[in-house]
Amino acid sequence: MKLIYILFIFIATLLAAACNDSSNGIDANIALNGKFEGNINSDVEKINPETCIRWVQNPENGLRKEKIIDDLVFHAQYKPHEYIVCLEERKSEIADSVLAKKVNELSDMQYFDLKIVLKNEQGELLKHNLNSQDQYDKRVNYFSFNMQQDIQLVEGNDTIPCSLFHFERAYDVTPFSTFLLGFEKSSSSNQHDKTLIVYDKTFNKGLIKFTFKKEELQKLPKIKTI
Amino acid sequence: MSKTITLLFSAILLGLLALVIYQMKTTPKTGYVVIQDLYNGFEMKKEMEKKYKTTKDARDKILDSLSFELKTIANQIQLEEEKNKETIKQFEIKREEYFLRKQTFEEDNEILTKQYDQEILTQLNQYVKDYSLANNYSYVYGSDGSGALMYGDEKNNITKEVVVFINSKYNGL
Repeated sequence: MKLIYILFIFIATLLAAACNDSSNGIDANIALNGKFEGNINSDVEKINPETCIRWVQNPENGLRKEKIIDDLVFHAQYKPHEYIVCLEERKSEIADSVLAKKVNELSDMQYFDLKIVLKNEQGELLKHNLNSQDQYDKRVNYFSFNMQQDIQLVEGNDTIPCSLFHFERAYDVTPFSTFLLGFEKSSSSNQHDKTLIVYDKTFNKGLIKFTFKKEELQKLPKIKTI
Repeated sequence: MSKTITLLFSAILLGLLALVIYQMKTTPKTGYVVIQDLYNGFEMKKEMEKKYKTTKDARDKILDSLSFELKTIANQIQLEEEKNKETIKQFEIKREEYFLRKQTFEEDNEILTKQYDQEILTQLNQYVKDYSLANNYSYVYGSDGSGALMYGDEKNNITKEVVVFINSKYNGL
């Protein structure tokens, strides 16, 4: 009799667990990753440059956002000054003086990367849904010179125009294009969420927004220096 | 005897439980949205409307200014006892410019409306798809009063939830 009850409870539990949808699985993963990130923040106070690069590029830490719209994927990467120094130095250890000097050099601006990728990752982005050679030339020209005017950063009530813009042109067939963006930093820059706004005229996707939360922007761990 | 009944009862209960779970898993989850409410609640639509109005207002100002100039010249011609050929020529040039600009602006406004509509719909469709996938919906119907959806139980109306979701997605949160 007892055996039947135990068997019944076991099977019922098993079925109930199987009934949970896949989103719970994803939540579980996020929870696991959150714990991992928590360890970086709390248990280890400082991280080495390579870990810093991985940390910033990890979408779960909120500094890298992705948006899929139809056949395109838009990526926005917020680049903290320390991250830029780590990328430029390409060393496993950075001297304290070097880090401080370079961060100071960058401190007047705030930097982002914008990447537009073809969802199927095949073909050339600039030639996507292209009608003529003339249209291709116009796209190259727009990406190189005029797109800057269609990019803004909103911080609280301030709308900041894009003052540094560079289109990383790949001359081979690539399914993506990358843009390096810079915006002037104000004294209240760190007190607000930041919303990067791009108006996509080329592929008719309209206003593309990425919001970086104030809390997420402030949680970058400190870099271990020598 | 008692043991057999308990065993039988447990087996039936287990079978029923399995059936309910199977039904839950295999029945497609459906919901519907009131398209007009969804569209009007979409922040991108409101922002694009403002953007369009700014452009249209700027164009209207140019037309108003041209129209004012045209009226001034027309008054001048009317007041002249001897009609000045130069003024009449100037009036005709201005009038032609006005009608040409008006036509161009009307066409451009129409193109802009279509372009903005397409941009809004592209993002709206994507975010509704994202919502459906995130919430395991097999079907989300659109109620627009055209008869495509004749009736939907109010408990399956997910418009409010979808509006919140699509605005969050649009703002890149």
